[in-house]
Amino acid sequence: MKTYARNFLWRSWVPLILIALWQILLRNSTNPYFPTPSQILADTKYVITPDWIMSSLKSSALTFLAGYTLGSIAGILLGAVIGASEILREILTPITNFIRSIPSVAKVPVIMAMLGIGQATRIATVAIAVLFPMLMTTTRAIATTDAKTLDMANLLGFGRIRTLFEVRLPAATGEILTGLQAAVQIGILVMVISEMLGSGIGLGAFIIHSQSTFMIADMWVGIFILGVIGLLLNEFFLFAERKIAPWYFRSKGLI
Amino acid sequence: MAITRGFKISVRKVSKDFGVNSKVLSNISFDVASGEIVAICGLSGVGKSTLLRIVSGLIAPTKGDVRIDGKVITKPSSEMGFVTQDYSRSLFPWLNVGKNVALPFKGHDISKSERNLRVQEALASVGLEGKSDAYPWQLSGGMQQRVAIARALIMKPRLLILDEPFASVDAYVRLELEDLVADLVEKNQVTTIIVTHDIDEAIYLADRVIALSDSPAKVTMELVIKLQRPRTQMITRSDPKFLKLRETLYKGLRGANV
Repeated sequence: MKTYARNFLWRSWVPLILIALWQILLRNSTNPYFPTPSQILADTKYVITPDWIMSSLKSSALTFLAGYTLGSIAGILLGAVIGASEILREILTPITNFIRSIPSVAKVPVIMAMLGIGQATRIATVAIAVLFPMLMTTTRAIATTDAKTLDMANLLGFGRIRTLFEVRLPAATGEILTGLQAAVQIGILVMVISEMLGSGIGLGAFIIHSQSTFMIADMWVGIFILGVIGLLLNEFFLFAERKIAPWYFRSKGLI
Repeated sequence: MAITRGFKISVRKVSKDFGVNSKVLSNISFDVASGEIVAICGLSGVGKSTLLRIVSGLIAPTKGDVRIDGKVITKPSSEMGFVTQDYSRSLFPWLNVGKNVALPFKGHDISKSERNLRVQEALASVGLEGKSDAYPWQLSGGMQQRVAIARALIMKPRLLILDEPFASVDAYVRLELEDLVADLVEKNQVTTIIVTHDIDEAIYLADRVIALSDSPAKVTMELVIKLQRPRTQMITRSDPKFLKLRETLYKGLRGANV
């Protein structure tokens, strides 16, 4: 905990300097699009109200958490099954490449047509956006399990299912965690996009609404909150992955 | 040789091709008696490991077959134990030592208390008492290979297959592990096939050495090792008979032009 506090101090230097520079450079500016950090900070108390938390923030949290969880579980499970079967890889690779090449923004109208413009659409958009990178990462990691490790599974008499869940998947831990970490950013990005496109609810909608009604400080508050959420999620991820697979980090001498 | 519970192995005219231009094994035949220790010796890359993969049932031969107590082998069996060269890939880093050793129990109906007891026994037999909760990567290479040996013997196999088992440990640990394996093989009365490129190791451990030549591999020599047991590193290796066998085997592997 002590080292964590020390690390935190060290890591705070650069952002603090940047904020200070921003404050100093723009202190006399009249540009309405770039308020100073102190003005943005002063505005937060008008933005972050219980009402706002219960509407915008809660909706965004639900969109992200549900979408990320569903998307990554589906991506890992599908990727595991596809990765373990050469035939499935051959059959499904073209279609997955086709679907994942369509940007999430372009998928939203299709999902809206199916699910309307409610929470379900936003969750589904995030889930699909997270699913594909997790699918690709897991497929590749599972398909390239070390041959000697697979030999050992065979010698131990493991069947396909047991080999998949007890050998191939744990052996893919490193790649899957990397994929999950990258998917956090994808999830936030697509959460914001889905909220900006017509829903009227959530952080993304709040930012667009503030901008279009010329509430520029509000817009900046929204942007900063997104950044802070991304930062906290990443910190939480680094903490959680060490709890989920301690052997992986310890065997590599990382903790 | 005393009658033991070990399997009788019969390798009959085994050939293996990987594609048209890659003949790895050519018409290999030999027998291993119940309880016998046979070393398969050959230069690196000669196809020894391919032969072992066929004997263990991992891959099928192109021609010929391998019979275990008269039955043709088609897939690995829980009555076989395996130790491979690369412990870092044969032990699973996500499982602790106890769970790695207990892996062969998967799919077998054995009570938890018996499993635990047998894991403790197996670890004790390789000198790793109390290491059950450690992870493989916390142990030295030699200790990891001991874990692999404990795992190979936990199902009380009737055939023990060792593929270059000591090639990844340092020279001193290697001698220690050779003696450990010799001792465990005798206690377990298990038929043993050991693949090695080390001439001294083959002679020291085996009742009989089979020499393989290069591409495609053929049996070029069978050498019966009549050195007294129990063998010890200091006495056996300086026995004039040992030195004579060493010379014979070296010539057998190198061909006539030595």
